[in-house]
Amino acid sequence: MKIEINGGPKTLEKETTLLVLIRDILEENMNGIAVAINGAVIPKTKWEITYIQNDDRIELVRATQGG
Amino acid sequence: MTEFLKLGDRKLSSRLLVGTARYPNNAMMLDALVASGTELVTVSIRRIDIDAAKQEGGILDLVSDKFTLLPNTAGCYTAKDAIFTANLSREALGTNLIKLEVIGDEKTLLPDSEELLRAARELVADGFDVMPYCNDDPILCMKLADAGCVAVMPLGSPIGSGAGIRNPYNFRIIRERVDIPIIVDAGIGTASEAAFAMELGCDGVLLNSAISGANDPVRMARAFRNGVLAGRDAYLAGRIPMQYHATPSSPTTGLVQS
Repeated sequence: MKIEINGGPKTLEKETTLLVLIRDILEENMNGIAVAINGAVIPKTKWEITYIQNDDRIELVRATQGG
Repeated sequence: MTEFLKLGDRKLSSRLLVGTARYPNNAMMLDALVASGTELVTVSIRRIDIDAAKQEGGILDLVSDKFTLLPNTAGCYTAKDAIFTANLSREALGTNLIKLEVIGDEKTLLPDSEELLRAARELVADGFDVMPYCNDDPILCMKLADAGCVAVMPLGSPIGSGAGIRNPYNFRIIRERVDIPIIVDAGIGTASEAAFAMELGCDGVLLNSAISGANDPVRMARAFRNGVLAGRDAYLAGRIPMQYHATPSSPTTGLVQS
């Protein structure tokens, strides 16, 4: 399965939930993050039941320094 | 009696809002934020670097236990992108507060008023407490207030310019016509300009570069704290009217004769 995450391509070997994908990328470093799939923000409560689909565009963001 | 800056249902005793970007290092940023006396600090929302994600820490670990966070939509050029970023920030930080920026031009970083107003109306309808960074245009500020924003944040001069308040007359008009808090956002270069903004009737000052870019950010943060306090007191105290001719301050009777 091919997806795009933060503008770059990524291949997933098997069916994966959003929670598993995020944990794989961030491990425990998950403070202050948010995620959207195809332009729709997915609440944290739905990460475990949201399955990644082929061609999904994922935005994974975090709060950082800003003015 | 303590007077508060009210932003939605939040009450702040400090009228200085400070950004978290471009400090020489995190320790100096924290020292400067503490020295400024601020309670509300701005942060931005950015893509995580997937390759460095495990090591990359967010700013939350540094500031979230000491300050209230004000996420921004910096870098957005359309209402659509700003609304999307605001929704991501609400999910990431659990706050409905948003510093709404919709930029119209890369060189000047001036706001796109049409897109800004559209985004403000949509975000207010969606339950956000919207603080729009806007031009120093009294009519626009009135429309943003009518839209239900919790504050208006007109620029003193372009972002990072340090050129101070370029049009104080507009700020006086905005003060007369808008009942919600006015926070000057952008362009402030030094503490006297923050005091001046407060003397014009602003309810607060938001800045970043003037502190983070100073030779001594911590000392400058303290200067801004004092400047905002002085300006607020002067505004509330009411200045004497300006006139062209002198009025003696010492008694004009009982003068000594030689």
